Amino acid sequence: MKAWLLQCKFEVLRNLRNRRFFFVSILLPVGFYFLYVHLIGKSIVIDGVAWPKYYMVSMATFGVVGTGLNGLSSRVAYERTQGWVKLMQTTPQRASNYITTKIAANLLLNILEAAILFVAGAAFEHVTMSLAAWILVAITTILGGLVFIALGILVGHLAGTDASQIVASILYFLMSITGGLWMPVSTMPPVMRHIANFMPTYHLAHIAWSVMGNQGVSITDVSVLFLYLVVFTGLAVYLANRRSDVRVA
Amino acid sequence: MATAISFEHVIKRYRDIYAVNDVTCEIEAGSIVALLGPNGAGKTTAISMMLGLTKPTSGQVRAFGEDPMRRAARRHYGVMLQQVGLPQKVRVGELIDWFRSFYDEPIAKDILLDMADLRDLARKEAVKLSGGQQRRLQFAMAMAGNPRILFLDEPTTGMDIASRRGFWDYLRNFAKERDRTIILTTHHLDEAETIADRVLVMQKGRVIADGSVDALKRQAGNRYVSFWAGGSVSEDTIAALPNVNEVRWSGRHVRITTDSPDDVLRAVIRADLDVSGFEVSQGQLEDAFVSLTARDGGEDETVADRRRGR
Repeated sequence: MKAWLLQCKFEVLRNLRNRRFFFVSILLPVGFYFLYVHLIGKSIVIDGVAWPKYYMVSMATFGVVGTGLNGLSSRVAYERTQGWVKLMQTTPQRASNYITTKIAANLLLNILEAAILFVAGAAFEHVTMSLAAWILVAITTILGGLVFIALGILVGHLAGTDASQIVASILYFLMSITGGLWMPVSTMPPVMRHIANFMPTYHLAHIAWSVMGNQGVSITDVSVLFLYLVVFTGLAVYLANRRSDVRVA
Repeated sequence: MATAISFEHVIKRYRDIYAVNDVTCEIEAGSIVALLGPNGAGKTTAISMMLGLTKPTSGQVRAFGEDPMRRAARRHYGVMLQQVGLPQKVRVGELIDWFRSFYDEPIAKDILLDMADLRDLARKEAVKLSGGQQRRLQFAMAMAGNPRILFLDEPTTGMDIASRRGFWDYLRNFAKERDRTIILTTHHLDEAETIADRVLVMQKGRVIADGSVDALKRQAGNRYVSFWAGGSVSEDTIAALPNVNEVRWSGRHVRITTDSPDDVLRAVIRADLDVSGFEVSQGQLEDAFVSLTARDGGEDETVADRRRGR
């Protein structure tokens, strides 16, 4: 357990020391948040939710997607192809520690990001909601990040270090835009709305948007996210074990 | 003597290629074993199975009586692999702590830092170290758990001569303690020669020679008698001596390759030839290695060339 916690701590530190993490996961979402709240106007209401509130969730989700994809994919690819994973397997620690500490560290970073965006919204843009709604929105954003953590790990197993970085960046922007995180889906043409329905990004943010619009949580959103989580995890586990005849446990 | 590692009829097959082909051997605790062989001979696969990274197709690999695929066996391991990219954004001291956390009774951090001569660089990002420094750090990581058995795969790659010498001195001290075992692969046969008390030569998935450095040299038959020959000594005279396998003339210097230097010397002296400056030598391990692997069918062939029909 001590070893697990220590490794988890190093994984968090490694992200915090990375300039890319700072840019993608903190600067970009917070910067966009303040920019677009003021460009679009605070009085606009989207799907029954005031714009500063709506966009706070959009950007928190955007950050969480970026951390999972960017932080994990190239690192997993690098460590997998450069012999590090192999070396770890010769130690007496549990083989699963390698990936569980990375997942735990990413969840902690998700908490940090959601907190930053929520503080930005509450303190500077006067976002208010009930305590229950805050908690529900926070938990959704943070745990929903698991889908993108799984996707990040999956990309890391699909491609080499450089290629996975590129794939992750493309997925990150495509999924964010088509999922309505940059611009609300309801302002987009019908075809884009149709595409959004297939995006885990859209369904993740939609849970929080619905909660804030007092519409309750839709089963569709939760099921789609769960399905994506299962598929991404399944594929990642399959690829991780296919490469060689190394043990799993 | 206790057995550290044992192989019992171990076969590792990748489709129809036999990377390791029916190897049976035991490595005693307390020995320093060099695993040599041309590229593709099966050294890496053999080590992978010892480390629990690869499962044998058939046969049994044991480390201190346990299956290396299980974690328990690896508590006693210290491992230095080839070409490991250290993780980014982690500091030297952190990596050492990280590895120390895997073991019940790790060596103190400061001792490990001194061992790698990296005390002043403990706060530096590990990937920013020079190649040689990274190798030394990896050695400290391998030593973190105070291992009973050290696996070193090409350990001195990237080290300069001074680090290399210090490294082997360190290993000799390590091995002096009771029952500590070292298994190493290296391309520097001179290094293997100075440190190993047993050499296993692999080729095409099999162990083709096994013994002390001296025994291997004897097995290879590369023993030499050399001397300076006076003007009256002809090539025919030398060639007619008993037990001469090969003669090489360099000006008036003669080197005879023989299985029995004693007989050659005796014959030269009895014939009262005009020669001076006798030298009897065994040649280097490298000579033995070359002739052993060549004898078994050319060293450039790889495992892939050898496909066993069924």
